[in-house]
Amino acid sequence: MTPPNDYSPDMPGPAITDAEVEVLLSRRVSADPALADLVTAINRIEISRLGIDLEDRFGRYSLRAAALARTAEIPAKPGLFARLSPRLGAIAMAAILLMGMAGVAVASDAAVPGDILYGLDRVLENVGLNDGGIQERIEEAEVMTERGKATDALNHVADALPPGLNEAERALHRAAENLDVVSDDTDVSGKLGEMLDWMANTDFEGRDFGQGVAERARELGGGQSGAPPTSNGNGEKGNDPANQAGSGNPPRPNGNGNGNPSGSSNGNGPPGGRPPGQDK
Amino acid sequence: MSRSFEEILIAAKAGEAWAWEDIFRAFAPTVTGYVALRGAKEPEDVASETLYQVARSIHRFDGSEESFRSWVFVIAHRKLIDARRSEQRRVEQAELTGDHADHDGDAETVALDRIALEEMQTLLVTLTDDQQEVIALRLIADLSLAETAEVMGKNIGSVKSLQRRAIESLRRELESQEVSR
Repeated sequence: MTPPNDYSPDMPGPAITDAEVEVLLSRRVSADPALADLVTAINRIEISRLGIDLEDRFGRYSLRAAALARTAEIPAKPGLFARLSPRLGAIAMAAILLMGMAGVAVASDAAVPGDILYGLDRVLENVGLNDGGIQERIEEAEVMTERGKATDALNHVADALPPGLNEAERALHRAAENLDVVSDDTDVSGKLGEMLDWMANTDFEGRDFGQGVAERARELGGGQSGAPPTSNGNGEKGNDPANQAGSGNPPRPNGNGNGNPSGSSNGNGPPGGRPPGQDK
Repeated sequence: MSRSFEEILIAAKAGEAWAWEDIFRAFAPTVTGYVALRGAKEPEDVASETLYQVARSIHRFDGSEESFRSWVFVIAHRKLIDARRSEQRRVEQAELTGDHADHDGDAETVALDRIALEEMQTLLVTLTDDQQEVIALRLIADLSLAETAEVMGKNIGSVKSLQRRAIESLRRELESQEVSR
């Protein structure tokens, strides 16, 4: 088998131009006889046919997706203070606090998704007045679990994971989905609480943290079996890592402390871009 | 999608089932094809997980129809990576437990245009991972140059270079196959 290769300026034959490449990729035609087999293979893939086996699932998929959208957390829109410059915003907030609104800020800090003051809590986090970050999200998930909202708690934590922990995020969401079909499991809250406790207190960070979360989430959701990682960040075997003196720091949130949904870098989806295949 | 994108997005955020069916119909085939070409063992599962994640995160999206398409495939790419890692874990687990049952052969997977995809995969195997990615996004996901650059986190110039090199590599591979016949 020919190993992966790359362009070499020493190879014989005229170089293909960017325009020719664009025609091939966008219109699936080429005047180059050497690319005839490629053009044939490309045109044999009829994208529309790939949906045939999904047809009978569209209805079920759409109902499920609609339900997910209805219950998904709505990010707090930037309020008055967030629209001000940081300096003015801080001054304005300080003035309100001095006017006796401090109690409201404190009360909102304890709010979780679904509470009236939760939107205010997120606004205050955005201007740096309430705590934020993944630790806050874990604490909120713990409260949600205590309230019997295990599925929402799992999704809440999954959406707050730092970037790069895709496996953990996926496992948490899958566990949330699987919980939806589990009619009754009194042990769920206990297991979920244990996982959240581990997340809050572990010294693991980065990839090791993500792996630990993913393993525990899979156990929770009835997915792949497997014991939680028993090695610390240095790869040494041992007891439950939560009881070990680890060498790392608690998981760090990302820069804004709010966590990012998979697929966006700023919480609003990728900038620019274009629409679904209508025009190129 | 017959309605305007703005109408569909508003309805999707409101949890309207018809809007999500429109989104599924628009994206399920291309997302499935993209992850299948990139080697997902269960492309329909990865595609559905992608679109479910889109649903969970829909309130975080606020952009044009142009942005939405790129956003969906950024998520698809991440789900693909997750699926590869999970598949690797399943392989490792099977090796440990001696379970070598064939988990393929699902009727729905078989019904995919497997032959054509396998032909493409055979051709693409000679490319670097980035080159395979750009070809899959351009040909299967049907993304524009700009959208592909966004999904891959590269500038347009880099993507142009990647796709040109990919096509040149494919041309050399096809020429060598022709000579050896």
